Amino acid sequence: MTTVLGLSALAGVLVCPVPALLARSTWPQRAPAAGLVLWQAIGLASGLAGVGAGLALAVLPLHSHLLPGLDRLATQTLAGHPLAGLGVFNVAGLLWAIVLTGRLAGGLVVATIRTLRSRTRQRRMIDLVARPYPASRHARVLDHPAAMAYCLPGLLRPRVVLSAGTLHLLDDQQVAAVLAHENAHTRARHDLVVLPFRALYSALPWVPWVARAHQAVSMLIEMLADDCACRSHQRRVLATALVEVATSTSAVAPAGALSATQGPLVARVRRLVDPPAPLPAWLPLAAYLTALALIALPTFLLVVPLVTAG
Amino acid sequence: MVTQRNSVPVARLGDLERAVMETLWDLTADWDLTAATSDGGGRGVLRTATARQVSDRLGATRPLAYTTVLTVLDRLERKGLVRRLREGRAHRYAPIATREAYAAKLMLDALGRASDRDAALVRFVDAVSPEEAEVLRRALLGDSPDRQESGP
Repeated sequence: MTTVLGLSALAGVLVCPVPALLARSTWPQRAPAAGLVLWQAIGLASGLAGVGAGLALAVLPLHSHLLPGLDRLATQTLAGHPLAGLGVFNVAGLLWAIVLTGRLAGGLVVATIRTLRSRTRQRRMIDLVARPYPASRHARVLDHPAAMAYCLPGLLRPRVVLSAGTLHLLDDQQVAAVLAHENAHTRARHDLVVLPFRALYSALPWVPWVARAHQAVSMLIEMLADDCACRSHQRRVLATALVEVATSTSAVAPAGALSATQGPLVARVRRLVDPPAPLPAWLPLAAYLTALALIALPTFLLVVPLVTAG
Repeated sequence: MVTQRNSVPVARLGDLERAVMETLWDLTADWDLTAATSDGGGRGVLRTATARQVSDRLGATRPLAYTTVLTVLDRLERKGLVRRLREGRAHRYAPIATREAYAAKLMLDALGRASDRDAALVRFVDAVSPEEAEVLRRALLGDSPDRQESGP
């Protein structure tokens, strides 16, 4: 019972107040990598705790420990009477664990396949339609007047796509800064960080923290790439390029749900123009340790029996 | 009609496909509105070119074997980029859509209006609303009214 309660409480805390707090705090903008790791740990730990709580509840009448309990459940399922000895709540817990696992794993698989397929299709088209950009190996120029820059990450053939409109709008220094930003994405495979959160968002869009996490993670990888580009380019050059590209296409922008002063773009520009003081070294360290603890806790609760009654 | 003549060496198959496709686009640049077919959707169809014409046009800038051109056209047809039409004993080829149409489609995808549910591409910036554009321009000037100056 302790396991069920512990895991439920952990899942509850990770799903409700923690993401809200983390989304509101500004320190991740000063240490994006630490912030990203913490978000990943929260996502993983809440999933583990949520599924684990359901399973622990399901096998409660069979055994007080989760693993032997699951073993019994498997044995009696093979014997042809899977629900023997289970009450209504136990069956509900089992259903919850199955549905949640299916939803999470299925969402990830679907998102991965969809992303890979769409990326391959787009890269094929880009290679056919866009011309190479001599200054950068993976860069291509798409002949279109609207300003736009993006990357198609990939293991072997990543592509950074600039529109002709972008080259027209920006000067050489700014273009180089944009390329450095995009190359940082493709080199560090930031897309792999976003993918699970995008999958989660597709699978459970009505859960408030999921939307928050997706939004925060998307912004933090941009800041990470901004920081990377600023190692070889001036911050102001990148900030100007960012504003130029964003505002030049304002005519086609959909109405945003974000308030103008708190949007991720404004945050990016502000920290480029006026870089915040670096964080004290202990804070990112504390974030990494917290992330480790978050993943260790549900694992511990699942594997190690807290109740030693037989 | 914008024509990009680039001088990239034809090395990989992807480059070959691009070169052949570009040549085909150039050769069939003019719309032939009179030859509308049933699946032309009222837009008319593109003019066609033979593999020989493509090979000859390509040969002016880079020599490619005729059979290579045929192979590449075959691949392009299988990929759904080119349509092959039989005319007597010869085949004629037509692009399924113009280069501009593909570029416009890619831009639309990139701007996220076609599908926003996959993580295929990572945009440099998202387009913004007019009022956010104003806030961005002010932020660029270092004007951040909601934050106290803290750094040195």
